[in-house]
Amino acid sequence: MLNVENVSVRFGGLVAVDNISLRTATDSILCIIGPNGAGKTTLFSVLSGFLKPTSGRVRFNDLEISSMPAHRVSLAGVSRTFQIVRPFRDLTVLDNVMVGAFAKASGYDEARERALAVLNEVGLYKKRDFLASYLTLPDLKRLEVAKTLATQPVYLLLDEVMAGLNLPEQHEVAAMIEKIHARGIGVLLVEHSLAMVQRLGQHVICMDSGRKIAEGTAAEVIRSEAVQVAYMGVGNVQAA
Amino acid sequence: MLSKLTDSFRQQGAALWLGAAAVVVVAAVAAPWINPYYTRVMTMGLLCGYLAASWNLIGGYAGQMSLGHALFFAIGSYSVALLARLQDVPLVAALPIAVVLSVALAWIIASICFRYALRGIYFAVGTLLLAEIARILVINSDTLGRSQGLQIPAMEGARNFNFGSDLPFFYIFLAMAVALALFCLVLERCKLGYDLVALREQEEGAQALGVDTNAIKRMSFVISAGLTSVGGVVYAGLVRYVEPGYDLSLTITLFMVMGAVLGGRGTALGPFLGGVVVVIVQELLITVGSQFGTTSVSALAQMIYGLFFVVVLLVFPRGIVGQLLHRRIDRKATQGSVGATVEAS
Repeated sequence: MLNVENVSVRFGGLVAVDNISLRTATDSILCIIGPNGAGKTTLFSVLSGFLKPTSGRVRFNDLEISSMPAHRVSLAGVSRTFQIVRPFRDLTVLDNVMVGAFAKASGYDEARERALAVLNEVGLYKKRDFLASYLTLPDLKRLEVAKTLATQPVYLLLDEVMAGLNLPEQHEVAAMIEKIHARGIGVLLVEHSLAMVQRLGQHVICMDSGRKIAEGTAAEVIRSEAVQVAYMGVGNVQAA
Repeated sequence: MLSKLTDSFRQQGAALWLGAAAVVVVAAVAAPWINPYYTRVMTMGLLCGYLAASWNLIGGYAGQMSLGHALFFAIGSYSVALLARLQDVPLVAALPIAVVLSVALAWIIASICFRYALRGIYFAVGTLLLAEIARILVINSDTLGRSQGLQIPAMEGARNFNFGSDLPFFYIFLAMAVALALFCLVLERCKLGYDLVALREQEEGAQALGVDTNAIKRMSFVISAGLTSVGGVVYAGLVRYVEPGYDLSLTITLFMVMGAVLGGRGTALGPFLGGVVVVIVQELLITVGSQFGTTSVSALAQMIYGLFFVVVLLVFPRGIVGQLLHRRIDRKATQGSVGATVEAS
């Protein structure tokens, strides 16, 4: 159980995350949507230990992960990808994933085996000997997932892994995420594509200006008035 | 352990390692028979290579540009000089003392620098200034010989680094270089090696994968400092003289950096090749300069020296060995993709 309790993050006068509470378990895919600047990525940074919340806390089972440094949160089992991809550019695809695999592997051979299995899973196996700097954006997004997946997370935090992909590519990635989730890994997803939210989001939260403005199933959240106004600009259109 | 070595051997380009092994064997056999001047140049080349490879652990693999490594070199050489002033203490005792001192100091420096996220140019300038502070301290201390430095009195016996000739130093540096190269080869196959490179490429990306980047920065800085001070100890045994103008100068740090950059940062063999090249080119230019015997020519030689590095780095931006390995990866990747297309069709 991943438990976010009244988390707020302030940067000076700006409230990026405002009193957010949520819970999710490994058996569900949680989708966080919201307009740009809503605080989704900031919330992810708190969940993964890269940012300390100004107030509130995050608990993972009995661990209070909001007081731990990022690498320990990752080792505990909550691992994130980055919206702006962060490959190790001068390493091959395989070596990139092996860095993640070494987190839990006992030696070189085990790490390599695990990394190759993950590359197979995300569909990068044939490109394993490429330098990461040669990959296209869709492949870099897959590599982000592969690196994180290799650490054997309990919860996988995916920050806009489908941004910049066309619809068929998005569905490929969605299928990959469903496969990963079917293995028992909890998935938290920041996503803009409503088609993907409808396909994947069993549990959806919409944020705006740091606050949670709606929560429920994908259909409920997308239909709710607050979301229509904040996210799809329906209110603005009417006003204009 | 053995399988790690052979695997890494294959990945790193066996040809490169076989070439290096051949050079080591030839040099080891030839050393007693050739002109002592050449042995001396090779000895200094090996020292420079060894130092560059030590620096490479923090500056190459981990990508943290330390410009203060002269400090650790001087801890080694000054330990020898100061111990020589005590009666009945063999100079070899300087070795553990120097290693403990520099490891402790490196630990403190690293803890402070990395705790406050000093990286990039700030880490470079910070370490540079620490070495400079040490130099100023030495210049103002009578015990440490001020700017004139300290003569190391001759004492009998191998345990005082007195071998009756300089040849044994060649073999000592050769052994140190081989040991360090093998250490790097194994490192590249270990979690620590992977973590260091990940840290260099993308620090936050590494943290997200569970890498304690501060801890491994400190670890590599400490190992690097300890190894550098060993180089300083043996060097002082060889030249029998320490002075702040050399042992604590930016020049000695730049020898390490240039050796590593020229040969290939973050490669196991590159810094050794680079270090040897740095010393040979330097010697050649000194020889040519002294033929003419005018200061203007030696100034010209220095400019040629600088120009040489610019040209080499333009041709090999990743360093000589780095470029060779990179070309290998490229070839493998293109072959892989051709294979993939064939499979698909």
